[in-house]
Amino acid sequence: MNRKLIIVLLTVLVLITGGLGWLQHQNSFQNLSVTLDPQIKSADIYQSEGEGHVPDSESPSTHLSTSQELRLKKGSYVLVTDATGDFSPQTIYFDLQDKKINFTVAPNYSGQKLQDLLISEQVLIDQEFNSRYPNKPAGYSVSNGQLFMRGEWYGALLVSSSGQDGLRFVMQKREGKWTVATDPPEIVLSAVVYPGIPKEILQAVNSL
Amino acid sequence: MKTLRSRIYFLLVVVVVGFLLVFLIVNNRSLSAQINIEVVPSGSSVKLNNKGIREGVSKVKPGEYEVVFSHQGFSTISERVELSKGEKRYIGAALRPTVPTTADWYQKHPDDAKKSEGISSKNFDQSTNLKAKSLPLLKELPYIDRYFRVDYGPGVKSKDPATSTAIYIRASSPENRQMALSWIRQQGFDPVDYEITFKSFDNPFASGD
Repeated sequence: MNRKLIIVLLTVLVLITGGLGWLQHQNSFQNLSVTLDPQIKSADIYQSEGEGHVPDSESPSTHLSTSQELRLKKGSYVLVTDATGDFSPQTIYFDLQDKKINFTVAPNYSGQKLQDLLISEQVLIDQEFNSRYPNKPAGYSVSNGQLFMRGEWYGALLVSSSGQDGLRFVMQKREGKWTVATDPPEIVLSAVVYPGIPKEILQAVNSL
Repeated sequence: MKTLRSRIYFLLVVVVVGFLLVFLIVNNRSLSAQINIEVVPSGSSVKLNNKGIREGVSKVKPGEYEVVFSHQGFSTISERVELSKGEKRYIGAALRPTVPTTADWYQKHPDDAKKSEGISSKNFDQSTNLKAKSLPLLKELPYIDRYFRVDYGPGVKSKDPATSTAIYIRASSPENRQMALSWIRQQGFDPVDYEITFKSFDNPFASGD
């Protein structure tokens, strides 16, 4: 009799422990949806120790060659794409915790590609800027103009010949037409004031 | 036989109670945010996402909520909050009289008047703490240097009223303004995260033409 009781007890304990273990195991994973730009041939996801840490020699946790729905252990990760053709490498840090994450991997053009593009866009950019500010204050000239991302953003520094404050501005190309996105040009551009402009562009223009 | 059966029943009860405890613990862990509600006049209706809720501290799941305070003869106040995991948020409302019969409510009900003062004070403290949390540079201000002064005040350009606090830089020359920006960076903050207003600086492009 006692033996039967012990067997029932052990079975129940094993079932409870197994059930709890299974629940805990399931809870340690989270879903991730990665959409790869058609131009990107592959991307690797590595476990990371946080922003700034890119594992170099470890084998990736996951290798992607197409857009995928993944289920990974909760934690910090970094997604890395290699430089290919006209595109620069991209590194995306993300923290997979309680919520599912969706993101699109669409690397920016390489610096060389953006420089080449700027040659053909510069005239149109200057035309739009001059028409927006027909009475441009004397002594200011555009300097260090750069295209960003896939050439749809432009940022530059207005330098004063009389030692006044350098002023920064950003322009955006929409439906083939350039428009001034930050009006007026400022000493420092703010992501709070211009939430529609990617912060990394504002940071890059602030450091021109 | 009878003893075995009773032992099995006992065991089943233990198992069921165990599962219930695990369920309650897991469920309680998901209710990890706290909301502390206070309202005057006493007895006002408080609804959290259209469901009645009592004053005081309640555990809720992290997420977005709308809290609506109402009382006949008083204004209705609605507030939206987003609570993250582990967050504790105070939401207090002092409803204003809107009809002649309630116009002198707070004079006639000193307890409510006192509670109303407490609510205003707690709301102010929380607003200050939230601003300091979202704009950590504010903790370092005001900063007064020989060549510049960095302070803060109401923002005017940002679209989001929750972050409508601007950093004010007072400096008389372009070099001093750059020194002020360098000081902000040296403190570990990026000026891009703040609305920055340069006092005593006339932007030559500001007229837009």
